[in-house]
Amino acid sequence: MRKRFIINITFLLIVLFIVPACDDYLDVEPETAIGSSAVFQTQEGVLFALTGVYTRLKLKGFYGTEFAVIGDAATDNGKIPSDRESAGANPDRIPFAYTLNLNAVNTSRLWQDAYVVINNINVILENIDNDNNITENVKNQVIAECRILRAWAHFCLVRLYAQDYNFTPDQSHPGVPVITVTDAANRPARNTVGEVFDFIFGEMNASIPVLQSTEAISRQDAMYYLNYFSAVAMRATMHFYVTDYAAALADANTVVNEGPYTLIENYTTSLYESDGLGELAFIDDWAGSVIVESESIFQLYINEDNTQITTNRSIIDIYTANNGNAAHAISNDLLGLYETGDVRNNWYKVENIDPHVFKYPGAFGDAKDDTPYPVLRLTEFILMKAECEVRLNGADGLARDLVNQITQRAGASTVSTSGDALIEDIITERRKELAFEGNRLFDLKRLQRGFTRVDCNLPENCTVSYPSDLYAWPIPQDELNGNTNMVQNEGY
Amino acid sequence: MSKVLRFYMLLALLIPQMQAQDLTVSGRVSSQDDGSGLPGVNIIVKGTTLGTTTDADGNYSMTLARPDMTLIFSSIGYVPEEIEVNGRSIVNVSLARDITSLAEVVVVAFGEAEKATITGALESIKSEDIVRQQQANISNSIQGLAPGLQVLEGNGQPGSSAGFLIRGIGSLQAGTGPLIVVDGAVFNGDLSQLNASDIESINVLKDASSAALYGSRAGNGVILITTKKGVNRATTYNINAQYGITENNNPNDFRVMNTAEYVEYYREAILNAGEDPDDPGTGFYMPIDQPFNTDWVEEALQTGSFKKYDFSATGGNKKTSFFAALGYLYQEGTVVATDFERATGTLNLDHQASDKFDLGGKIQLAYETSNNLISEGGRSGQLSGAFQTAPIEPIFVTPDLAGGPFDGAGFNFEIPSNAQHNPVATTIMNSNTSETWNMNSNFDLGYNFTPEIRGEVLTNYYFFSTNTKETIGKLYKAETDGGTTEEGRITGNTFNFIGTLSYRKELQNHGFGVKIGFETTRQRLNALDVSADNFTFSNLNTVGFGNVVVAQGITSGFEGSSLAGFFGRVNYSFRDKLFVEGSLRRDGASNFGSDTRWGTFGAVGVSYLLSEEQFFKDLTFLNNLKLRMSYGSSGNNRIGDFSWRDLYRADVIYTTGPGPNNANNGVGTSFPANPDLRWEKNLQFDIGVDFAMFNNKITGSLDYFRRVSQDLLFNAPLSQTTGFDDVTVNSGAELLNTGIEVSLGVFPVRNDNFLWQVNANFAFYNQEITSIPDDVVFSTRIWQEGGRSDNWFLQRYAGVDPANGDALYLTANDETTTDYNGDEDRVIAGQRTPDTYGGITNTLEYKGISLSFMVYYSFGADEYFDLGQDLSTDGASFPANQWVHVLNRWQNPGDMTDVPRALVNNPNGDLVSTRYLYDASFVRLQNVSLSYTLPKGLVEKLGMNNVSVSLNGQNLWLTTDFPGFDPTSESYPLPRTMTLGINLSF
Repeated sequence: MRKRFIINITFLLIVLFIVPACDDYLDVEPETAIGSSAVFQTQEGVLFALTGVYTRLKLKGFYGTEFAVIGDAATDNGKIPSDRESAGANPDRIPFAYTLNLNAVNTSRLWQDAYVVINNINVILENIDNDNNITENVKNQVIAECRILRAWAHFCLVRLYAQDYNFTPDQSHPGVPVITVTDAANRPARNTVGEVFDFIFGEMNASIPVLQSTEAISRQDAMYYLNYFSAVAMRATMHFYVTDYAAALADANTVVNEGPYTLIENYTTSLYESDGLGELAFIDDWAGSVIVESESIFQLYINEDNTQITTNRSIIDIYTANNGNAAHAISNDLLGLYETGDVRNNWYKVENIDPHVFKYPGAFGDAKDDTPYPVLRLTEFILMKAECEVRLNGADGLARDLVNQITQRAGASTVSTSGDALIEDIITERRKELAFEGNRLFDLKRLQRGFTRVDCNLPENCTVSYPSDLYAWPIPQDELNGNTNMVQNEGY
Repeated sequence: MSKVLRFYMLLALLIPQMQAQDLTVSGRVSSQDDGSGLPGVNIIVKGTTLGTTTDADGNYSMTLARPDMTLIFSSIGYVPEEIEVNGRSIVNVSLARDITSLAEVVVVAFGEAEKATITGALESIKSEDIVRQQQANISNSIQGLAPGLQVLEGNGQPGSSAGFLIRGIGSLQAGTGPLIVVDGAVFNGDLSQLNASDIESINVLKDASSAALYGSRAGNGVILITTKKGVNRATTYNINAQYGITENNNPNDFRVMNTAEYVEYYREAILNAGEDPDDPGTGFYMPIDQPFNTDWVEEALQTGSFKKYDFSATGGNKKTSFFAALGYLYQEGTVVATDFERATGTLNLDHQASDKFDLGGKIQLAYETSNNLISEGGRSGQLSGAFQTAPIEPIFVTPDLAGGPFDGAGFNFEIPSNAQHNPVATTIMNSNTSETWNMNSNFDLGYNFTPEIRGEVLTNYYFFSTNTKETIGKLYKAETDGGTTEEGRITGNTFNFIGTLSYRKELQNHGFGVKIGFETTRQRLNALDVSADNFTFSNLNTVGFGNVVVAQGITSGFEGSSLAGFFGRVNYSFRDKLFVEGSLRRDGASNFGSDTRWGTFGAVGVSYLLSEEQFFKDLTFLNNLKLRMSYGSSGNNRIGDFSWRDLYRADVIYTTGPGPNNANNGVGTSFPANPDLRWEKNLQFDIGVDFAMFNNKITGSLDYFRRVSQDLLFNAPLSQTTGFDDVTVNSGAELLNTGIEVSLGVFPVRNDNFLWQVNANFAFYNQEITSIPDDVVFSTRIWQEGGRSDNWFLQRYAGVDPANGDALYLTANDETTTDYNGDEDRVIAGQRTPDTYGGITNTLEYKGISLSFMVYYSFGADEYFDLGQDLSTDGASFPANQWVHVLNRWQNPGDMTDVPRALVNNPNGDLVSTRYLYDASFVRLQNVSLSYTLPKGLVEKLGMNNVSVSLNGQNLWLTTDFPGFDPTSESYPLPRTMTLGINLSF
């Protein structure tokens, strides 16, 4: 009887003890992610979040692939290799950037990714005042960098999804939504282009002085992060795009005259072992995991790995023959502009039938699929300064000197024209020097010009005349599905 | 029995000491069929928990307190008998086989029940039906055996698990598979780990009433798997050996082009594009004379072998019984170098410590290793690449130089048709393997507080560890990284705890049962993944021998969830003909926020044995008629573990150059939090009837169900300006699944020598989205009110313009156009799941010979032929090989065909449309089994209990309009399996 009693009690105890304290039991913490509230409790966490913003500039729709490629592919610079037309059909290889067969469904990934950057910034700005041990200087610098990157992301969006700044005289044509708060339920309508640029310049003007006076965050390589000069360079690009040449000139002067950047005086070439094509000659400053370092204002290192964050088809895969699958090449229209002795011809190599873009041959050996990409570099601002000097001050001589710094080191003939012809020569030099750095489309929009592809292997869109619906890309269908207040661009 | 006598009986039970006249009773229990002794028959003294079981020969012996007691003899599959002892010392009983099986005891949620008392819709699959279908994975062995259970065989890779759907698709974006329970505990492992030979039964709980005790997770139904246990009899041993082959099935002779066809087709395509195939200077050089004619697909396929050996021992005595088994299985796939190997060990123990206290335990161990298909799709795949590779390309650079496995020099890597990938070299130089160890263990205790009150505790611990390794060889020249290897380690465990207390009271006309309990489940999974490349040696490719080139070469993963629930069930029966059951469960789950994580689910069911009523008893042809009805709710929480939380991901690394020194840690947003997430809910109504007629020659059941799914977990689209694409919500969408399920058993002939049994089951389903806040459009699917959730949403293909050979399409307004749009001109063109499916099994037995064959059918589903699209691009994928079907191309004006003209770099090829959508209805000879059991007399002379040999064939024949290898599995077609087996029992 006593034994039975013990068993009875034991059984009941087992049952009672194992009934867990339920709510604790049901709180399971993820081990590979962190609650947002925990991130902003320390200065270190805030800086990790800021670093995450830089990472996301390399998302596939942004500089990881698409935005880096569209600026050239969508103009008279680009071409789909004639032997690779079908390989280019894979949407991963963004064939539409060249064919301009644009639609809301499978084009326009920049929209999504630029707003990811903007949202990450907004989260930081909303949480940076949380109780943490951040120092005032670091906090001010983080806020300034965030606001500048947020303005830059809006600038990239408005360049691609809206017509150029002067499309309507009062900038009343539709731009993109300006987003400064986090709210998953937000269904914003489009701001006008004028409102977008008011926001952009307001943010830049407020934040650049902070960066001028503060350098509180220590970083290994300056050119991978924002600083005072890269912020000014960004603002120069913005002013230039809206054809405010005086303001652009002022900022370009700051960058060129005061910035720590020096033009590489002589290009040298060497042979490099390339995949599949044997040894090829490349310009030394353009080969490897860091390019044109002394003239780099803001550079990104585009890496293929960790595909969720950046890209699984980086620009090196898009441009450079990788198993013969390169999807975009250079048109003979642009290639024909380089003189025979121009060292920059080393940026292009014939593979199979067509010349391909090898401007970013990659890091070789170590990480063949990765490549640096120059978002902003000195030559852009030298050429900007030259163009502004001619347009504003008629300083043709000064402008010629600036341009010829660039033509001379390339081994090309010097520019000797004046006036409007000189402006045209500078625009042509921009096209040659900044080829495949994502600028041509936005130069054409700034100049309100169409283009003609002579070397064209398309049934349509060999000529685009200004104004064109193709200059304001379609808003993605996913946005329209999730936001009834969104209005699609004309023509889609 | 008079009241006075009952009083004395009660007194006798309460004060056993007063009765001293013990009586020993013994006897033999035999089968009415053939008089053979029945082992394992339960014998219980009525009104007590005292009892025993018969030994291997059917003999028993027990001591009774009084001579006037009544014994109840019961055994699964037999009609129980109640016999008053009346002072006899020998009681022999012969039990009749229970054809209707109403008295059969079946496994239900948290317990067992007699089939007669069940109010819900439940299907039972027996072990003999499972082992007849010789497959490495039991999930493939139960197709067609239960109406309402659809087995989604997606993959012919040996050992791979099929998916299940019970009563249609009841969710939009959360999981649609049923809950799987093994021996009472929720099982999170892979079904490949279970050996079919160790399984006693598989029960499928389809409706709310039968599944409600698993309430929270039972929204998609429940599959209960019960493994074999020991019995009280002399130890018997069983040896089973199977040997056989597997081969590829190709019902419609699907093939790609040979060299003559290939050259003819592409020369025409080149000429159509204005290029010259005879000019070596262009990229289109293709002379008529070709030195090679390689059949790459033939090279990729093989006839594989199948071996399975099982040894088991079972036995026990009154106190302790055991089942122990060892099993080994090896199956080669029908694709070269794919296989699956498994070793299993099982021990089940049960011990009756006293008449009050019992305990038991089991441990199941399994080791599995497999060589898997190298890449299921794309050009690097060993099978998918083989279809694309041109026949004009040789396997080896020079046949004489064919090297060994580690010598890349011999293989040809100049293969423009397949992006330089050589599928034969892929098979030899690259690999994709996995290895898994796992253990599933139970420990259970039972305690009878009184004869009516019983408490049970079940603890279950499941553990697995999987290593995966994918390598690309150093000398595999289509990849240029000096070899790459990715190694993964996943370990996971689940801990289940279930405690129940039950009460059972039988009065003269009324029976009551109550069960209350609680359950907790805790699941954890950790993953580590490492990749490296640039190997020094071509034959040493573990990650340690390569260079880890990027910081992100090492990744880790985590899954964790907990669930706690309280449940109760009440049963009431009236005169053993009316049964009512009600159940309630309240569950909390870690994957919802603390305010919404608890959900309450419940069901009621009633069944009525009409045949027990007098007016039905007059209908003599009717043996049994039972009406069932149930209604209730159940839930679904199968979304991500942490979807409700506001989380930053920690792997947003900012890389500023090659190597780990340039990796800067960063964090970033992941997905929008939704703290309001809650359980998805299923409300199901079921009405059914079970019947048996004409001396049980015709039996069957018919069910109608109506299943409404609400609060559907759903990724609602957001404005992308929020930084997110979508957010997981419980949407206002509602799904309705309705259906009819029929099962029928008929004995056209049944006599002493010959038995012919036909079992058939059919299910008819319909599904509709009854409401959805906004239409949701995917690339080939649309969700809109009034439509199905599993439709095909495609632009319609309208054949070829006879004038010029261009492909024609239809717009949404039925106008013919040459402009493919693929967007607004899409229409609903089909559905992905069948309207009806079912199986018919015929079993013929004559003396010791048994022949059974099962035909399975599925009608009404459409399947997109992805491979067909890849292989008929009208020149767009030049120079990849093509399906021979495109030889019917348009060639000259006036040609009437549905294949457009060939044109290299065709800008209009390879477009998604109904051109590649096929009716995937099929009829399959799922299984044929022929067995011979040696005569009992002969076997016993050999000292054996049973000797039988069998010949089994699986997936032997298939007819379908779908042109590929198999409509259910494209990337690795389901094989045909034939085995010869022998079974010895002694």
